[in-house]
Amino acid sequence: MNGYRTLRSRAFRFLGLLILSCVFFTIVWGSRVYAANPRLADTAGLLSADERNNLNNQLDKYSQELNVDIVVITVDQLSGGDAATEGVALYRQAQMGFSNGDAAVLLISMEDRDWGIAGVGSVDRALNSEARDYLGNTIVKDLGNENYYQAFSSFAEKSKKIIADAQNGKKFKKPFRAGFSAAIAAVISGLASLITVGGMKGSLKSVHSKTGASEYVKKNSMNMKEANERFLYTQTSKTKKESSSSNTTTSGNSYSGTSGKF
Amino acid sequence: MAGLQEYKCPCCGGGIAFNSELQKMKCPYCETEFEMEALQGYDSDLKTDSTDEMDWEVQAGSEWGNGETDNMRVYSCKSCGGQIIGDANLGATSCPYCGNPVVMMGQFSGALRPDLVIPFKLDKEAAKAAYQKHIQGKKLLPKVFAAQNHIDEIKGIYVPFWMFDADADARIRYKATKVKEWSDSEYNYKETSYYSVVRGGELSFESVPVDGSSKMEDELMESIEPFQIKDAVDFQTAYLAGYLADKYDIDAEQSKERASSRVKRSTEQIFRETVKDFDQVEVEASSVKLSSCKAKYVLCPVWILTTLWNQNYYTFAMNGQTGKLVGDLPEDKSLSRKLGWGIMVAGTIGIIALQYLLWLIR
Repeated sequence: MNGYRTLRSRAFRFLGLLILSCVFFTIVWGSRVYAANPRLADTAGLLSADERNNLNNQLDKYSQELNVDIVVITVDQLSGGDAATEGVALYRQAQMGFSNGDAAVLLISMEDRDWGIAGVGSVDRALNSEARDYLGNTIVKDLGNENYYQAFSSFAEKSKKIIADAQNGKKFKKPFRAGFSAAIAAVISGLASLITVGGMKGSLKSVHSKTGASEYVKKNSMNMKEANERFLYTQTSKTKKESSSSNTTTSGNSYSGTSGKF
Repeated sequence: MAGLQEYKCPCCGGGIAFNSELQKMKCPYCETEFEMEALQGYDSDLKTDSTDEMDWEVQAGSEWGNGETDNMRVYSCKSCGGQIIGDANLGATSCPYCGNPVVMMGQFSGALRPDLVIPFKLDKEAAKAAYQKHIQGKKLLPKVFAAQNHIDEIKGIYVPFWMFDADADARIRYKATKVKEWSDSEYNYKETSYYSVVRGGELSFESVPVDGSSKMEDELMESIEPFQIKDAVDFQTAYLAGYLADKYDIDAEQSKERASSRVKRSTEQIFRETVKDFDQVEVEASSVKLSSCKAKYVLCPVWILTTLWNQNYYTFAMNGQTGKLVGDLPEDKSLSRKLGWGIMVAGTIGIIALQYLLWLIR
């Protein structure tokens, strides 16, 4: 009988230790690998199951590396306000990712085709206005062509690079666009060339007909006998202003955002 | 030979010519100078001379075809007997054999006598200097052109002009608009107010020149304007000695249309300048009436050089009174193309480099 009791208590102790270990392991491992909530909320249903899965993994991987959240949210419509502000609100409300208050947030609203990018907490400095504009311009073509997965993946990758550089003390700078720069340069120098050579050619010509005879007007001979101005009528026209697709910037409590249209 | 007048120096018998620097007659051989008044006696004698007799001399061994000699005149030089051949309008020249200046009296007698002449103020050296200055600094001028221009062949010519005086009475009606623009949050607005504007009055023009020689391009003669009529003097044939001269072959009647067009254009422009504070003004109706129209026949001094280069003629003209020189120059097309491309390529590289530098230091 004593032997049985000893055996039973040993078994219970071993089981308890095992359970505690499992729990401990789960907490430690889980907090390292998996957040409490996902970083992708595709409410508008823009992605397939595979795409959601791949994008989730990508967002999680980058977020773990940087120790900040990179989140993507899609909605059918905005509930008032601009896309960037709503993205931050949803991120906080749903406690997405680490929910430690440091995040790069992208929100897409399908009704009015709005996009919004915000930098929250410590990410606010990394994702400055120029960086947000750059990210927006990078994804807007894919959004317009309904390549949503490509757009979101591109956002995640580029945000990660910008934040990683900022964490290493490197401020964001838009990449140098050689092609665009060359085109501008060619147009300006082409115009300069035309004007310069045109001027030189013009200096070779000095023979011109005279259309008037103003040099032969007798001094003080002008005598104005009639000078009147009669109002006839007025015409008024109006044209509707085009809706601007340019980016607008908002900022609030520890976040800054940029919104636009696609 | 009747019809020719030469001015011989009383001292040495050489041919004397009008000196533009001194504004007197001067003998190039003994350098004696003569006042214009002293030669007036010659002029009064010249007026009593009989009319020209045209001696037609036909070349031995050939016959002229019909109409070939209609425009040709042949004179004999009184100094050396050499033949001087010119067209029907030639009024003054130099003998090609002995260089004596000669004046064809018949061209300027009777109804053909000019009212005024503006004497040459600038000599051949001044003309040559002006030409050199004209071709300087022209990057696209072929280098060879300057070397091959035969500048010593520049000639002084008295060109016949008709100078028109007129009083213009104008009434011009314009359509004028004022535009106002503004916008609110939704719309851009544009309000255009229309006005009828009338301007009427008088304006006088004095000595509007139109060249009376078909041999001179009108564009070329207009380019060297203006001629200052205040320097004009009563015509004397002595002024022509040493220079070429033509009588007119386009009369005042044919020239007045050009004068009318220029007067009308200037009148409209001058009245247009009095219409102020409108955004847009256009002429709706214009009426310009000319009155007190008078034409004077004036010989004006011009230095002319014609060059043949690369199978094209280039003519340069300088106002012998004011020194204004004009003349279109040829273009070195190959250099022009190289320069154009060179600027474009260098500019493109430079601007890209500058943009990259600005991007780096940002």
